[in-house]
Amino acid sequence: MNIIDYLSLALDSIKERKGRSIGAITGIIIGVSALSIALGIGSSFNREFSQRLMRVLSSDIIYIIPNTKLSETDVLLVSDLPNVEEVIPIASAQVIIEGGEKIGTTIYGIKPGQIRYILGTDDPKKALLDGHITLLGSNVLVGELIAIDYERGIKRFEVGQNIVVRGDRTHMIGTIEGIIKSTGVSIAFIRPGASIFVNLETFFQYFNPSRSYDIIVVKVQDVNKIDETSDRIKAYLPDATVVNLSFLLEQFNMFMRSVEIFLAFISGVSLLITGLWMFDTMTISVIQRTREIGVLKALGFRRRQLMTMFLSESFLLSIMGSFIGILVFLVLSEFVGIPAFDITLKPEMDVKIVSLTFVIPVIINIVATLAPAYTAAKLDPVEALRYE
Amino acid sequence: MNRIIEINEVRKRYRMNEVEIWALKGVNLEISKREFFGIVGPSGSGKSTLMYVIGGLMRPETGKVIIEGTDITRLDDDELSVFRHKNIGFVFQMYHLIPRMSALKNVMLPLKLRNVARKEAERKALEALKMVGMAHRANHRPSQMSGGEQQRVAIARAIVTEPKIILGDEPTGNVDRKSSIQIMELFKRLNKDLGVTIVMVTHNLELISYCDRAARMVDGRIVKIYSPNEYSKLIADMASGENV
Repeated sequence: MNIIDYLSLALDSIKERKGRSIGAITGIIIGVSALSIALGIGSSFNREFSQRLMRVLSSDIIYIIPNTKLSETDVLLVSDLPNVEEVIPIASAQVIIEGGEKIGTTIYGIKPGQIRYILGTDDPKKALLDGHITLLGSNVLVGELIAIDYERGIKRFEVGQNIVVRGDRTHMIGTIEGIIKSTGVSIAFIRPGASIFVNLETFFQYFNPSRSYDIIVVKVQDVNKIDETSDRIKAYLPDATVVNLSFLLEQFNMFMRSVEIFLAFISGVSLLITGLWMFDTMTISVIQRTREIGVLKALGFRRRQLMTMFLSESFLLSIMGSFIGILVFLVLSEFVGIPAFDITLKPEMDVKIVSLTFVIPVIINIVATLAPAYTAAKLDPVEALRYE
Repeated sequence: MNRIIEINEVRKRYRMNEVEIWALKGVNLEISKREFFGIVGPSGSGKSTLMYVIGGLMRPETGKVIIEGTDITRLDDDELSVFRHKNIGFVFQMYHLIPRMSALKNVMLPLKLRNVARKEAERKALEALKMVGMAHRANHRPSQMSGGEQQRVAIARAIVTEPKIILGDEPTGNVDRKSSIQIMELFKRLNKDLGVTIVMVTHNLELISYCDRAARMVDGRIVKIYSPNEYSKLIADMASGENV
């Protein structure tokens, strides 16, 4: 007998037992669509988060985040390490800006030549809504979300305006020389559109006389040796947290794998229930078809052929359920979504998900059918023929 | 050699809970090629058991069952299935057609085991149905046919693989008198035209006249084999319950 014969016998039997077959297929559809949505959302979240991480963090950058503070010595130490192209030390403080109204924000002190790393571009036109960049003396760059109150539709600050930046103990009067676009990308977990920037020396003068840093950003020459460089920095600064993009992505992927396994397990429970339903359906089918099995044996069907016949039925039901389940998923994925990252994440479909959601129910249901199929194959032909 | 079936000292036992029942108590029998052989006897005499043993559906406890020179008691289950498929066609009292399949599909079923191409299988099945006068009902399901018609379809299924032996277990037991005669005429024609050996178990002594010989069984033993000129004696022996 060839596969077509088995499938055609299976189809005949499925048609005869419409009620139970539809029940089994429905169970598989629910299981497959639930599993697809769980895996699809997981995959979508993974992709979106990774992309955002890659957008925010460059692949040739290492971040050194201290437990307490980093000193000028630390900066010099790191600068001398092999493969280090540039070290960008950044200091920060919580301040209140006064100029008409009071707004709390973070002020960052940075060397004027290094502000381009924060803004992600050398071109001021791309980074600024208005003004220019020198970052000399007490000139400050203000983020768009500080300068403009979009809720009320008013401008709070303008280029050329003097503002008071008040820290814990002291304050400075700065002149706004540029407004940074809020859409700009950056490094070092800084949101330029919601912060203000000042020359590092000016920052130390007013807000941090001890001249310590909150974060050191290290740009490497050879991206392929970034892990090696990270390890060297860790050796010099054992108390600091040293991370780079590949490390973060690796950590995140590990986390997402656990989440996906958990989600798949939860939705996989429904597939296990489907397997139990299939076991029940096929057991009843074997009982109902006992005489038929006797006839088939009398005609010369071998054990293996009878087993394959029942397994084909289970296979066909699973394929039908999986196929419809994936179609249902495709329809549902247009409507189902979870809010994340200021967008709604829709479940996405890829080859891995399709393969998994197709193969898993088939395997579960075939395993569930093994016992009833074996029972059928082992039936005594005469007893089967005499079965009432 | 003209023998197609040879049975030597066959014993078959059933176990019902703790009780052992010997259905066959040392049966010896030889059936020739192209013979139409009847087996009669009261209920429980072992005639159906003997037929199932000949057909390889039951294994005897002891003895030999030689079909076409092969001792089928030595074959394993799969070998026995293949042997059955190649050599033996069954016709049962209850027809045992698959209810969800049309007459044509029922007859095509054994051909699936031979990997016969669909078109060819259809042609062969239609030919077999034509032979039993059921070609016009090819697309009808068993539930749409009378008992006699269903039995003729079952006979078509039995002959479609061109077996050497047809075993009939009370093939007329569930049909009216007219259909019984039609079925027997059909068996006789298959026996004469195709040269198929037929072994038939029956209660109906009226039909024994179609057989070339008939064995009478009592209590798990063949007590006598009758030739056609002894059939009136067979009927008398059956009526009197004669044990020898």
